[in-house]
Amino acid sequence: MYQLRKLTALVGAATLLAACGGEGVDDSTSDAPGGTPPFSLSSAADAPRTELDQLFEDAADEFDVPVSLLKAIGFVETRWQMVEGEEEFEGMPPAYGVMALRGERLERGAELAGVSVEEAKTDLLANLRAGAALLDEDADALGIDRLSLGAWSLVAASASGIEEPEGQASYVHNEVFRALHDGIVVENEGGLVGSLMPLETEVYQDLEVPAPSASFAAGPNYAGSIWRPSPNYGSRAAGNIGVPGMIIIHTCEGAYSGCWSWLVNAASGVSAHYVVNESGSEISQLVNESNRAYHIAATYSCSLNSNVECWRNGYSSNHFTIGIEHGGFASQSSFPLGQINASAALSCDITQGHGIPRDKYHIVAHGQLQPYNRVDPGPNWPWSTYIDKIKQNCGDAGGGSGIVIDSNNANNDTNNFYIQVSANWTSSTNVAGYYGSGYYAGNTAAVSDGASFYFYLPAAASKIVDGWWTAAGDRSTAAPYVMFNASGTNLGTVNANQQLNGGKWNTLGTFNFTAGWNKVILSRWAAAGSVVIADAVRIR
Amino acid sequence: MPVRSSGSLILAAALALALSSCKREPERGAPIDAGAPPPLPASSPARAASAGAPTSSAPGGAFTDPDPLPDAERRSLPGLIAFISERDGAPTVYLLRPSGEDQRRLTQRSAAQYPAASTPDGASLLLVSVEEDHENKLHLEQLVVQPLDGGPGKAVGPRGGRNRSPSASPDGRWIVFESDVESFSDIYRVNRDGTGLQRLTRNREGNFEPALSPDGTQIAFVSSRDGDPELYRMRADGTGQQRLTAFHREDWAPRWSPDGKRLAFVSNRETRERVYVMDADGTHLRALTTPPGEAAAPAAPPAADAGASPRLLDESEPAWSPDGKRIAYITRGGGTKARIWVAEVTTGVTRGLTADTHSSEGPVWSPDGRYLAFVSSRAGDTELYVMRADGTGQTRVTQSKGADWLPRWISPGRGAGR
Repeated sequence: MYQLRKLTALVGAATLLAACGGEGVDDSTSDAPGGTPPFSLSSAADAPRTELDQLFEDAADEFDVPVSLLKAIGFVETRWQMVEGEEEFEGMPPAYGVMALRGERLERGAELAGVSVEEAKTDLLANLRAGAALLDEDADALGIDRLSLGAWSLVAASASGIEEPEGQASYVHNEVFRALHDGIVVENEGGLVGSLMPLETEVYQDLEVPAPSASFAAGPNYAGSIWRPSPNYGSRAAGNIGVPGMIIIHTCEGAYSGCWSWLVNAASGVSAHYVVNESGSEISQLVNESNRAYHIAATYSCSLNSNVECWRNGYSSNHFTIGIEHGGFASQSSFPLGQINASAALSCDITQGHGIPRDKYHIVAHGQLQPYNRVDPGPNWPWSTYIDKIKQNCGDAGGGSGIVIDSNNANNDTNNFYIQVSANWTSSTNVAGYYGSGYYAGNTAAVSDGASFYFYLPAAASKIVDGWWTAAGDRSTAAPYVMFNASGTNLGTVNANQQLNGGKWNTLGTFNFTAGWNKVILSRWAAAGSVVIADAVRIR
Repeated sequence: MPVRSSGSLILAAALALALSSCKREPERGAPIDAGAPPPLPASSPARAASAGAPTSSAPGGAFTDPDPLPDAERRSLPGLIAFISERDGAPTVYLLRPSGEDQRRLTQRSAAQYPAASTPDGASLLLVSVEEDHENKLHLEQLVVQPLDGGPGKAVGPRGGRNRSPSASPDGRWIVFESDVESFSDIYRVNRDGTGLQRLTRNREGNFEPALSPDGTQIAFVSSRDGDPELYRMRADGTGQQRLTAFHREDWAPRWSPDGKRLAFVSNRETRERVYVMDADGTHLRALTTPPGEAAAPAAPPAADAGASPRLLDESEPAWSPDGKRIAYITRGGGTKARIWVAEVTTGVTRGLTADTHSSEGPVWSPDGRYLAFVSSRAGDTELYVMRADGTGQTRVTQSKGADWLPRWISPGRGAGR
């Protein structure tokens, strides 16, 4: 998994570079040698050059296009991953390679670069060369001044394949030229993949592509979204017994601006309720949640099927689905953390609005609507993390609104809570109804050898403590739970009858805990001849 | 050059930039210690990037199995394998002998069809037939009982957004499945002739993935009724519903042991996905690869840096061997290729059967438990393979363009030959 960071370290270096500007070349005024546009000097020529950086330069040089633009477009399209796209929307051919070349443009690019289509799809250099060749051809066709950065914005717009003017503007200003402005650093577990230095000049001022609209209304259902209404929706069928409904996770198989532009285009005939961009900094809402977006339907409505079998209307609940598209590709090796976080916050909001349970059966991959999947739902979409984050956003991580300290530390977030027992406690799974993966049993005796459930609180708080055990006839009828604050002060003892009420939460009481490591100790100090069961404790 | 973590590499990059920018050296001049480009990391971007591309060996191309089963051994393998093939476009059910011989398309229907399970007599397959009506944005599923002799299939149960996870009773007379016909998702049974549809569960949060016990008396399933997916069981008539697991993450994919005494399932309770086993009453739960006796926690609190340990892989697709002594499963995650393992149930000792160079998944056992069929992309295209249960003799059995996947190894019976 690589991490993508716009590192302050690089920005710091750029500042440092500017500080020695008295001796440096003044990029903004000098004529660059060999007709190279001045802004290309700011490519990462001085940064550690990776193999990918070199290939970008080779491809850009060959076709006389700015390497910074080639890199920025490749970054916006794929985060510099060799993608093997899939057809997500009918009429939108799949994209291939770092440059995300599709359909006729893929064929044309391959032709211009003198490589086969297969090579342009799967060979990195061939793909970059095909991409560069297309930009070169576009520049000629548009007759731009190749020395003008602002003029190249027209090429970026044209190469995007986006027809919507607003989508083009967003693509050029908010994605490609933002990448040029901010610089790019891509790392994976093997180290630096490549980089692009931030442009020192103000990149937005001279763009020949007009800027996107300055003000946006928020979407009708999610305040954190931009409302870009799509005409591609229908009403949900009446007689809907489709509670609680599902959230369906899609990948655009392309970049964000192109994705929402396609979905608001009446000609495409498809839509989704939301599109989340790659970094998570922007979400578009396209269709009101109360309407049916044309993303995927596991549904039956006779009006959509020549009025055949109308008795079935309402007898298939899955038409209540809310679709979230994500800029990017199912084949990519990882998803940016910012995108996952933004999407999780959105999904939490949707589940709260419609009473949708937050689990893998209600928040599913597009592909998972199929009964079987060759590629298990979006192979690299981090499902467990994603659903955990949705729960966190909704305040129900860790079992309801609190935390659960299990008797198995493998199930605990041990930086924040864990159990500690001595070797005198026996691990067991003999009686059903335990929480998690088993429990500890301790023989009662007049000894201080309790099972300690530790938990960390960042600030003092009054909390309800619940206990969970498995009930049986050999259990103590007065198992002593003793609460301690972070200073080790005894806050009280509650005796629980563990012969009853097994396999569920039992409230022990409310206590005023302090900041730091508090604990609940289940003591063995009870009438001899029975056992006490340390299974799980919940703090809420 | 110093050895670098990714973080310090960035710092070095910044430093290199700053240093070289202040010099009046040629931009790409001779190496200066801090300013020189670092050596490419072991998995450099170009290589890492192209690793995802198809390998040079096209289907039917130069790839050969390094250690194939001898022909005589291949021909001795019992039963038939049903699988999905995309050679004709839409996913369609094909049959072949494990030797790779006698490949044939089971039906000529145009709808996508997925083989869910075979009937106990080995004479029929339970298919999920899926129609995608792109124009009207409809997705319709229908269960079909399809004789292996190619005779007409019989549609059973409702047609709708979701009808899946079917399993047949030991006498083959009724089928249990999950459907959204009257609710979000509940569990139903229906007679094989299509009569007697019965709803067995009723929860707005849904019930999923029913698995009928080998003796046909119990159904294990997943329900979200208590807030998150947990394993439950009930009698085959829907009575006596009993929760088997409790944890605030997710449990799913129940699989009965062949003797009906135990269940394997998958859970992400430890954050990563792992295969677990327990008795059918919910007792004696443990992670499959954790040796018995270490079932619960380490007694001491973890070291402070426990969070820094390398991420362990996700486990999934548990499949019991016919004698119930072993479970095959796969690992994936952390950027690794899917890999097939077999663990001894009593000891938890596990062994990787396939390499991690190309993905291998979907393991199913031969009826005699001596072989496994699986799916691999090692030859570029996704194809079916068989191997001995110790991982030797890995042999490709399909060579068609388009993916071949989801194998179901059918016992020799009336329909399956031998």
